[in-house]
Amino acid sequence: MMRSSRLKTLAWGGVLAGFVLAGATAGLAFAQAPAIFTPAGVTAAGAVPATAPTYERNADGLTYGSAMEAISPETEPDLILVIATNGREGYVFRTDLNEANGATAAKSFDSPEDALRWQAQAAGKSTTIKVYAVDGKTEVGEFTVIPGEGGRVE
Amino acid sequence: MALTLGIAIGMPAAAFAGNAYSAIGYATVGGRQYENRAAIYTTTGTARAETQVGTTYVTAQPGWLGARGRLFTSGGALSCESSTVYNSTSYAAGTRFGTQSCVRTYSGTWYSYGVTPLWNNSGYSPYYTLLSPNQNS
Repeated sequence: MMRSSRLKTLAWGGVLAGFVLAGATAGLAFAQAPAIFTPAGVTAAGAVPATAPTYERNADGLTYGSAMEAISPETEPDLILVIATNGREGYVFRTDLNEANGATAAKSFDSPEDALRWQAQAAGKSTTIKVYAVDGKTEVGEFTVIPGEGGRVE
Repeated sequence: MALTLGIAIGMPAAAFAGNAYSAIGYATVGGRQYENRAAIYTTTGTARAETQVGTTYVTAQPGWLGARGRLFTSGGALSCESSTVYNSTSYAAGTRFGTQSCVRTYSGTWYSYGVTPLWNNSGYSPYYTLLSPNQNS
């Protein structure tokens, strides 16, 4: 069961209906709009900031859980829940995932040209990383970060 | 005699195959306002995520807009992720650059959000999009 403050944004905040019956007279009914929560540093019309999650820790003290609960890259757990290519659930190290998806590289970019040079080098390359059990040691499969393809969208 | 009855119902959001989008999020970075959102596209048996990003008032110069997409199962497991891509050409204010995650060919309920590294004049600041509504495939 998800504990995500972000996920709660996707469920109806709850439809609260009040019925007041007085004798044969039906009274008031009202509904509350769904709440929308924003990730860190982002605003949206009618939305409120989500709160950072608290993750459980494994025996080695590493946090683990779903990146869907995070509100920013900094609030992702050490071990991120994934579906491995063999269909099993497991965890990848956040550091491995960030190496594979370019997040680590981005920290070294001093200009947009650096980013575009990195992109040209990385184009078309998939990166496969190991998936572990929650202990972060027992291998259960692999996870592949596919090459992104960008373009104009509507 | 008056009778008062209160009922609270927690209803999950409707989830159907089709296209759905998160609300547009705004972030001010490097003195510019950027906007981003997540999209999720499903048909019967397929699902893919898309991340969109652009600038609101000024033309985005090449490399200002980064994006990568993430597709999640309803249990919160990351099913697929793409590597980051950056706009190699300029994007006029109000137009959007985007990237898609892989396609998953399973039936299920899916969510997506994106990560958008935005040029801040001295480096990149990564911001999440809002979470998409869930969609069934």
